[in-house]
Amino acid sequence: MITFSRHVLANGLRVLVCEDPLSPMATFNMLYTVGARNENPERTGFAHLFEHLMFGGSANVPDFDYEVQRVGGDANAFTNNDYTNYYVTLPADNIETAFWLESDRLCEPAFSQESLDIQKKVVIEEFRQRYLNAPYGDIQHIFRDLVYKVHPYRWPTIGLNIEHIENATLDEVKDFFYRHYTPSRAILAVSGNVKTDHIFALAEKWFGDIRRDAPKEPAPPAEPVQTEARTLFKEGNVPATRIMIAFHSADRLHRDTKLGDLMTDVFADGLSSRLIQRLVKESRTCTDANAYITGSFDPGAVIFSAQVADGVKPETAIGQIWDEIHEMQDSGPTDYEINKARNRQEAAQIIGETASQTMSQTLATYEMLGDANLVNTEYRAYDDMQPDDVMDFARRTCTVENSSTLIYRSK
Amino acid sequence: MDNKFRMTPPPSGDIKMPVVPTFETEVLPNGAMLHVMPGGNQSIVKIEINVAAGSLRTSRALIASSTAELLSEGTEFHTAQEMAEALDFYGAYTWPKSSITRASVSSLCVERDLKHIVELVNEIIRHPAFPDEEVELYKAQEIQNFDMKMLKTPYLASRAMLHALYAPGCRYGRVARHEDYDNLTPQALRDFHAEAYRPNVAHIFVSGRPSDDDIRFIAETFGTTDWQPGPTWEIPGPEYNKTSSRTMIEFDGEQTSVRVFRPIFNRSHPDMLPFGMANAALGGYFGARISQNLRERLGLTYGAYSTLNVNKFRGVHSISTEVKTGSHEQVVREIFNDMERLASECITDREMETLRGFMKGEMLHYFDSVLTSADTVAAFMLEDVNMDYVNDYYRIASDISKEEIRQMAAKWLVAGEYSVVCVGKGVGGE
Repeated sequence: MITFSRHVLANGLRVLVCEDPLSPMATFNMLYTVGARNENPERTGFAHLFEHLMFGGSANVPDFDYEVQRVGGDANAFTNNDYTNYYVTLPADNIETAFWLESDRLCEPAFSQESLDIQKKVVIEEFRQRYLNAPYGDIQHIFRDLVYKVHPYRWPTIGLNIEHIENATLDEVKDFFYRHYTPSRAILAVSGNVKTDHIFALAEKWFGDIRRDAPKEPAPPAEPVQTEARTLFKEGNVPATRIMIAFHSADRLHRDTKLGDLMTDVFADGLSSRLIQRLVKESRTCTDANAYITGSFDPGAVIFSAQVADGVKPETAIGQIWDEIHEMQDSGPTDYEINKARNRQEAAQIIGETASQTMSQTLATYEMLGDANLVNTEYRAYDDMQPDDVMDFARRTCTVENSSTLIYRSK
Repeated sequence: MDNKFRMTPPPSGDIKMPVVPTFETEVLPNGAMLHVMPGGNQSIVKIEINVAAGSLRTSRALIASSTAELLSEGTEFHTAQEMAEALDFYGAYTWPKSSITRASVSSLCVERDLKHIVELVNEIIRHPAFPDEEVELYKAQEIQNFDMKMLKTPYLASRAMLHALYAPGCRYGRVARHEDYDNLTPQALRDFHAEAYRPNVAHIFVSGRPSDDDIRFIAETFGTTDWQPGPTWEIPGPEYNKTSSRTMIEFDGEQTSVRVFRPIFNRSHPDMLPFGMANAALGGYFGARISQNLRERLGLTYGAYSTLNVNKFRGVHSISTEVKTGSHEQVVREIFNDMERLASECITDREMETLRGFMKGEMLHYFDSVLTSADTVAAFMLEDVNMDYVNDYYRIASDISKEEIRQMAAKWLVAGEYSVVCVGKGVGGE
């Protein structure tokens, strides 16, 4: 059970505090409710590029990293499709420095052409390092583009291509900031060796006078219902064939997402799971196999993936995955499998509660979903789910016409 | 709005030294050492069984790491499938690990399940069977992984770095080859396990919130004299190549991997901590010189770092970065320039202030919770690091002068001692 407190400032900034008196550290986590899903299809990768620019200093902080490191802290950030998350972990006594830094850049970062030019180069090298200079590095670009046709989930956070990053202008950067970086679009969560009242007072002091707001952004276009199967063959400089199959599913808070989570746990969570035992251990058609939900805020997907063993045709492995899906649709999981999945969810919950540093991020994410207390209650929703519910979900979701299959093989 | 108050940083305090907890240690009847560190506010326990079974112990590549990886894939009493089922049922995270000197199996679980997990880990550590079919499957998986890694410039650069550092035949420089997978037999794994997984070289680390009854159970399970001592083992020292070198490997990648490195002292050397400060100033953190120069000034890389990797027997200082194709010569020049500048001019007051803050904050991270504290103290024990190390670290981080850092840089950042590896398109070479 995570104990936390919540307070909302007059400007709309939501503040959450989770005390951990056993840690010498504190984590200051600021989540902005803007991600790649809010991007223009002609300017993809922008939310992530902007994240880099946020470290370029602000009116009263010429050098963000210097100020963090000076007080023993460590700062970083990440962007995903749904949000952008900034965090500083530092000795708890110095927590106010994080308030100063984050509030100053929320007033306005120090935008400059020079900083933009350098960060564009850095992000392009990140693009090359993560997505081009590794076998299967481009698989997310290819697969997302196959699965999504309209919704911005069709591109990864880094962006569709390098040209979009190269073409970003300073005016666009400023426009992006004023549209998305406002107190009412931000969630601050602090965890560690802090006192709740002190954190609320600091939030008022450093953020209370920032009154800027912006009109509500329109929701991204909804992905139309898929009506026929999609298949794509791709060849690349890879050592073995990799298969990915996606089925469109529900949004993050929908019951179907939890059913999908439970179903994919039965398929692939742990070495005893169905796909590992049957495809990898018994038939040996694959050297690895996985199933998971994307868990995205807007309607996401159930994904199956497998690495095909040398000498095995990809069609054989795909056929086996479909056999497994059909068995799930015909018979569902066993009571034992559901109990095992629940045990694992519960253990993960208890173990996760010890991670003070990541707790602030978890709280902020749930707050963005509408209720920070989901951190304590969400996993209990699995208790009511029965094998028949999972079987019904598999029947409704894992259909041929709702499937997108990528076969990525060696040249 | 009145923004004047924003012009001044809020007051910040000196960064306190962490409280360093200790293990309560008991020697079990068979010679295994049981170390317990209670703490934390959640009912979870981490248990780690650590034995002197690292890769330096064997003359053959892959044997030590494969032994560790395959421990849970079938035992004398249960099939791999049965073991997987038993471990998964409790939701425990169980993982093997191996290094050049040691190997371990760790499990993180809810306290109520601890006894079940201890029984399973005991079976994994003491009675693995290495069944033929599991070894064959593991080989097939690892060969695919190996083929994939051989398409990555960072991996190729790491291999070339080991080759350049260590003399031919030195185990520290050994890298896996395709044929090594063919030589991986169940019998070779059984033999290595029989020799190295013994109580007289075992440390059992327990942290979190075990009950007294749990601790007794662990002591009885792993302390039994049925588990017989084995031969002791002296870890050999490394043999370095006598001269520095320059290796250019042509490879059709999207970036070039650059490594600049040298052999250096081991952990007990008196320069270990002060040079650690010089290394951090060079490239130990985001605000350090190499990162600021190559990333934030020139935009040639996503990241660049220098690392001082030392243990009881050997030390390596290295600078690593993945850079824009065609820029490797410029990058290597810039790295040597940054080294030279650090050796010839004192760092600024501002850099000194950052460095002190960074180094002290870094150490606090290692003692953030009972689990991280236990991991840190366990690593110290296995490396024979005196518990005064944290005091010494704080003293150096607080008191070292800019001139002493310059002297350390001048003493060790000697260009002629450093080798260079570049792997990428257009670098020349093979």
